Amino acid sequence: MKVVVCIKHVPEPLEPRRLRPESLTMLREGLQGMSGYWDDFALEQALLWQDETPEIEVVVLTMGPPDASDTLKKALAKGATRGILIEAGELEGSDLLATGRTLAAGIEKLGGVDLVLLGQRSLDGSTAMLGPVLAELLGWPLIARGERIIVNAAQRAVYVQREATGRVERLSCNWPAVLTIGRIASPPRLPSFRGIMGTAKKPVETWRLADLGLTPAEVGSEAAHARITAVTPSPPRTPRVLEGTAQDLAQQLAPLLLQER
Amino acid sequence: MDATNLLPGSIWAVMESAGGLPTMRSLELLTAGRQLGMAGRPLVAIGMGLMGIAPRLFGLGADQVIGGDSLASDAVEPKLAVLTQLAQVAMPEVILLENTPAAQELAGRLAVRLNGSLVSDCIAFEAGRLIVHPIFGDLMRATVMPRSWPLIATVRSGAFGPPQDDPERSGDVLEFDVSAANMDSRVSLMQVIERALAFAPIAEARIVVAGGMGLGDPATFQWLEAIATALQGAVGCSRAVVEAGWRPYSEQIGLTGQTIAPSLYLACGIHGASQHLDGIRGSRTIIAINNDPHAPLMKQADVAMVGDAKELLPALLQELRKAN
Repeated sequence: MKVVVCIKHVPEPLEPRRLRPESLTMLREGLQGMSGYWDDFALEQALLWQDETPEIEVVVLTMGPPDASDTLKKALAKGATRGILIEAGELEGSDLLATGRTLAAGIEKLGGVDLVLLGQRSLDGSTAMLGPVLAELLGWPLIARGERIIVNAAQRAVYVQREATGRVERLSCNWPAVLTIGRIASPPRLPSFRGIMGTAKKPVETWRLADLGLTPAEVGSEAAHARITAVTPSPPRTPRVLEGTAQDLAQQLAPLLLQER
Repeated sequence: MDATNLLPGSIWAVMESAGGLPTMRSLELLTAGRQLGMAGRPLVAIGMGLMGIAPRLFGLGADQVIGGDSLASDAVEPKLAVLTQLAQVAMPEVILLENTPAAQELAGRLAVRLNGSLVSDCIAFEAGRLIVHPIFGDLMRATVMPRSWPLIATVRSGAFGPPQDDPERSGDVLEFDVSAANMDSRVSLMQVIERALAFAPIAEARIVVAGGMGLGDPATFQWLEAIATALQGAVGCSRAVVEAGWRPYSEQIGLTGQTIAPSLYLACGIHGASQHLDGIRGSRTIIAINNDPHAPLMKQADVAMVGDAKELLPALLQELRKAN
C-alpha cells in the first residue's frame, strides 16, 4: 500500500507576514517555517498505519520554496519512507488549480498511489479546497475531515468517521481516494533520535517542472485563473475602552448583546 | 427540462436547505449575487426544495428558480453531476456557494470540471468584477481578478447580510430531472448518529460567548452557558481551556479549532494568542472582557471592558433576565 501525504510548509504563526510588492506573493525568505497544524495529523495517520504494517510506503510530498525541505526532513525523521519537494521558481503565484495540477502530476509520476492524505485546511490560506481540487484532477473520490480512519487493504476500502453539525457520520469508499484529515485521537509524534540519524540515508528528492511533464505556462501566476491584484491590511478595530464596576459594565453590555439576538 | 429556458450568462446561487427550506446563509448568496455589480445579469437560485417557495425567492432577488429532487442528496458527487450538466448548458458567469465543508468540495470540483476561477471565502465584490477575500486569518485582504469564467466562489457567512424583500418582484421557475445514471456516488454514507446539541454550533451561531483561562475555573462556564441560552447563542473557548480539560474540543475557537464569523463575539478572560485572533477576525462585532487592558484581544476588539469576567458574568445574566 502506498500513501502520499501532501504537506504545506507554512511560516511560523508568529512570524511577520509580508508580501513582495511586485508579485503580491508571500515573502518567505528568512522566515521560520513548519508543517501546518492539520498536516501533522495527516502524517500521523499515515505513520500509524505504517506502525501496524511496516510494508506501507509513506511518501511525503510538498510544493514549496527550497527551505521546505526542512519540513520534509522532519517528516522523514518521524518515519516517512520518501520525501519529495517540487520546487521551481515558475510555481510562484500558483492558485488552487495550479497547485492542484502540480501535486497531481507528482502523484501520477509516483504511480501506484492508493491514498492521498492532506490536512483538512492550511494554516495560512485556509480554503479547505485543495483536497477537492486534487481529487477531481486525479478523478478520485474524496472524504473530507476524517477523525477516525480504518483501512481494509484486502478490500481496498477506507472507512471514515467524522463530526458534522449535530451528528457523527460514518462513510466509506474504495481506493484510490483522497482523504482530508481533521483532529485524529493520536497527537502527532515527535521525530525519534533513531529517526533523525536515519535521515542521512533518506535524502529529500527534488523534482522540477520538467520531471513532472509540466510547462511553465501550466503553473504559477501565468496559469492562475484567480489573479491577486491587490493586498491591503484589513481595517483595524479601534476599541472603545469601558471601565467600571461589574454592575456598571453588565448594564452597558446587556443591550449590546440583546440587539444582536 | 427544457434547456432553452435556462438563462445564459447568469449568476447562480447554489442554495443548501435544512428542514426543506433554504438556510439563512444560502439566502445571503442572493444578497451577494445582487451586489456582484454585473448589471443586467439574471440571478438564479438553484437547489432542492425551492419550487414551493419560488415566489418568496423572487421577492428576495432571484430572477429564476431552478429546483429538483435530484439535488436532494446528502452526497456531493450526485449534486456535482447535476450542476455540471446544467452549467454546461446554461454557461453561468458566476456560481456562488456557501462556505460549508460540503460546498467547498462542490466548489473545488466544479472549478476543475468547468475550468473556471476558484475563490474562497468572499466578503465583498468591487467594480470591474473584482472579488475581495481575507487571507492570513483576515490580517490582510486580497483583491482577486478572475481570468477564466465561470467564477466559482464560496461566500463568507454574514459578510453580505440577508437580502432585501420586494414582494412585487417576479420570475420564472424551472424544474429539472436528470437520469438516474448520474446519481451514483463513489462515497457511501453508511451510518449517521444524531447528537442532540445543547447549544448552536460555534461555526454557525449568530452570537458566540467564549471563555479563556481568565475565568479561573471550569465552573465559571456555567454563567457562559446560561448567557448563551438566554441569547440563543453558542459557547466557545480558547485552546488553553481545552488543553486544561475544562471544555470539549468541539468548542475550541481559533486556527487549530474552528474559525468563526458570528455577528457578535463576546470573549471573556481570553488573552488572545495569534492563532485565536486569526480564527475570530471575521466576526462583525468583537467585545472583550479582561482584567488586563493590554491583552492582545483587548486591542483587537470593538469594545474592550476592563474588569473581572468572573464578577461581570453573573451581573450580566441578571441584566439579560431583567430584559426578558
